[in-house]
Amino acid sequence: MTREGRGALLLAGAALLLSIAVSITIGVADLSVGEVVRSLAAHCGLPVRPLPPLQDSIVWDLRTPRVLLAGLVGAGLAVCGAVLQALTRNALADPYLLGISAGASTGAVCVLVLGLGTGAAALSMGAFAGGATAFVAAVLLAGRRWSEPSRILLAGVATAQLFSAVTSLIVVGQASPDGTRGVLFWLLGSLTAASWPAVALAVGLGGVAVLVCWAAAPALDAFAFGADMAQTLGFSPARVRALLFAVTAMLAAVLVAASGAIGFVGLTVPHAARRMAGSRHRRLLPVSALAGAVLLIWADTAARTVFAPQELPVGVVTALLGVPAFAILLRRSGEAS
Amino acid sequence: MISISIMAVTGLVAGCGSDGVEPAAAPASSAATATITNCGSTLSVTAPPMHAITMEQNATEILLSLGLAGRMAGTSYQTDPVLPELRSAYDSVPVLAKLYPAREKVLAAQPDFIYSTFTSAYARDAAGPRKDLAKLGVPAYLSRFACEDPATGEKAVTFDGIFAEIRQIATLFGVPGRGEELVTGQQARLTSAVDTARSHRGTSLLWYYSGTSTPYIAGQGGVPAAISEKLGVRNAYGDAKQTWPAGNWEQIAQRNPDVIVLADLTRGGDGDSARSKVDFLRSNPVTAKLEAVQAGRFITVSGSSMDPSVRSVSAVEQVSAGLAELGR
Repeated sequence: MTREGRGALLLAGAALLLSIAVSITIGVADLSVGEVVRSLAAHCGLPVRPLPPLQDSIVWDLRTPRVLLAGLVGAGLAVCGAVLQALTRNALADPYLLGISAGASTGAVCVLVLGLGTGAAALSMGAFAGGATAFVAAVLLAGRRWSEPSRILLAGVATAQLFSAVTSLIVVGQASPDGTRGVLFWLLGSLTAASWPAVALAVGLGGVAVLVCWAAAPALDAFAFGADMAQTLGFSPARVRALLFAVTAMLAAVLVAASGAIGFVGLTVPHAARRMAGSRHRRLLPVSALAGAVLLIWADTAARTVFAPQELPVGVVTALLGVPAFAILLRRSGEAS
Repeated sequence: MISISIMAVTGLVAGCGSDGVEPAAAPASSAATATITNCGSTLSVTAPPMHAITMEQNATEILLSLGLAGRMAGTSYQTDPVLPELRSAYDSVPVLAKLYPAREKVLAAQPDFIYSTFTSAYARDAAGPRKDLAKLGVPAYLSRFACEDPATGEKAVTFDGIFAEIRQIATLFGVPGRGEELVTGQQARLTSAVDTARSHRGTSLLWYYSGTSTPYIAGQGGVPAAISEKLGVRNAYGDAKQTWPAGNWEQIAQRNPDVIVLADLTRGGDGDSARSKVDFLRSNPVTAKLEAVQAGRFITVSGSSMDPSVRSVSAVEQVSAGLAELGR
C-alpha cells in the first residue's frame, strides 16, 4: 500500500471513531455528555451508577444502535457503489441500479398494506425478499448473457419501473393515509428502525459481502480498465462479474431492508474516495467504506436534530448534501481533464 | 392528599363541576393494577397515570375534557385550534412537538402512559412501537378505531364505540365518574340532534372531505357513516368499502346527492376549506350542474369532527341543523 493510501485510510478511520463518539452525545433529549458516558459505561459492566431506565434506553436502545447502523449502512452503500461503478464502468452507477430499492419498496409495502406479518422484522424480511426478487427478475429479463453491463443495466431500469408501478398500485388501491405515511417515511430512507439485532444483522451479512468485494479487488481493477484486460489476467470475467453483481445486489437488499433506500451515498462517496486514495480497489474500498460511514453518521445526526423534536428522513439530508457535493466533484473532474 | 389536590386543581382548570371529583384517583390508596386488552395486546396500568402523553388532538381533547390536564406530561400534533372550553387547560400542558415528537423526546418526558388515536404515532419516527414502550414499563394505548389489525378493535366508527373509549380511559385514570358525566353530556346532545333531523330521513348526502379534481369522499366505516346511520340519512358513497375513497365527479353527478356536506379543514391546501370547496364546485363545469350545487344545498361541518373524538357529536349537530335549515 502506498503512503498516500495509508494516510487516507488512517485519517478516515480516526474520523469514524471520533464521529461515533461525538454523535452519540447529540440528540433531542436533554442528556449531558456525562450521563451518556455513564449509560455506556454501565452497559460495559463498569462500576458506575446507571441512569433511570427511560433515559438509559434513549442512549443504549435508541442512539447507540442508530449511530452504529448509520455507519454500517453508509459503509455498505459506499462499497456497493464503488463495486458497481467498476463493474459497469459507469460513473453514475449506484447500489439501487438493479431495481433493488424498487423491489424492496414493493416487498415492504406488501407487508404493511396486505398485512403479511407485523413488526420491524416482517418489514425488513419483506424488503429483503422484494429486493432479491427484483434482482432475479432483472437477471431473467437480461437473458443468458445477463452479466454484460449494458444488458443488466437496461433490465434493471425496466424492473425498477415495473416494481414501482406495483408499489403505487398497492398504495393507491389498499392503503389508509395513516399507513401510507409510515411507508413513505421509510421509503425515503430512515434509520429510525435501528436496534441491536439490526446492527448485528448488518455486521454479519454486510461484513461477508464487503469482504468478498475486497477479495475481488484485483478483478475490480481489471474491470475498471476494461473486460479485455480482465481476460488477460487469467480469470473468467463473466463468472466473476456475475458473482460480484449477485453479491452487491444482496448487500443492497440487506441495506434497504435495514434503512429504506438512502440515496446519493453510494453514488457520491466512491468518487470522493477516488480523489483521496486513488482508483486501486484494495485501498479504494476501505476508504470508501470509512468515508461512507462518517457521512451517513453525520447526515443522520442532522436528520435527528435539525427539525427537532420531529424526525426528518435521512434520505432527504443525503440528497441535499449529496447533490452539491456531486456538483463540486463534477466541476473538479472537468478541470482536471 | 397530594393527588386529591391535583385533582381539585385540574377540575377547576378544566371548568368541570366540582361536585364530580372522585377520591378513587389516589394511587396510594388503590394501587390496583388495571389490565385491559387494547388492539390485541395486553396493557397493564399499575397505578392511575400521573404523567400521560397524548400524541394527537383527539387524544389530547379527551383527556382535557376529563379534567386531567394536571396529570399530563405533554401533547403533540394539535391540528386545529383547541376547543375554546379546553384552551386554558391545554395551555397548562407542555407541547412536545407541532407534529409527532421523535422517540427520544417522548422518553425524555418520562411518561407513565401514552394515548394515541392513530397508528402512525407508534411508528419508529414517532413514539416507537407499543411493544418497545411496554418493555420500558410505559403503557401505550391505541384507540380502538386505529388498531393495526382492525379485527382486534372496531372496524367501523360508532358513537357507542367513542363513548366506550372515553369510559375506558376515564377508568384507567381512576376517574370513572367523570367519564360517565362526559358521555352523558355527549349522549344528550346526540339525542337532541337526532330528534331535530327526524323529518329528513332518506335524504342523500355526499360527504366531501378534501381534494378538488380528485375528491376524497366518505365511504363506509368512518364518522360520516356513523352520523348517516344515526340520522337515518343516506350516504351517497355508502357502497364504497374504504373509509375515504377517491371519488369521481362523473359518478357523483350520476348519483345526484340531495345535499353536499363540506368538511372545513384548517390545513389550508387547495380544496381544504369549505369556502374553497364551494368555489371549486361552482366553477367546475360538471359539478356546477349538480342540483345540490345549483340550489346551494351545502352543510359545513368542521373537518376535525370527522375523526372519532369528543368533537364528533358537533358534526351530528351541524348536519342536523343544516338539514332543518335547508328543509330537505
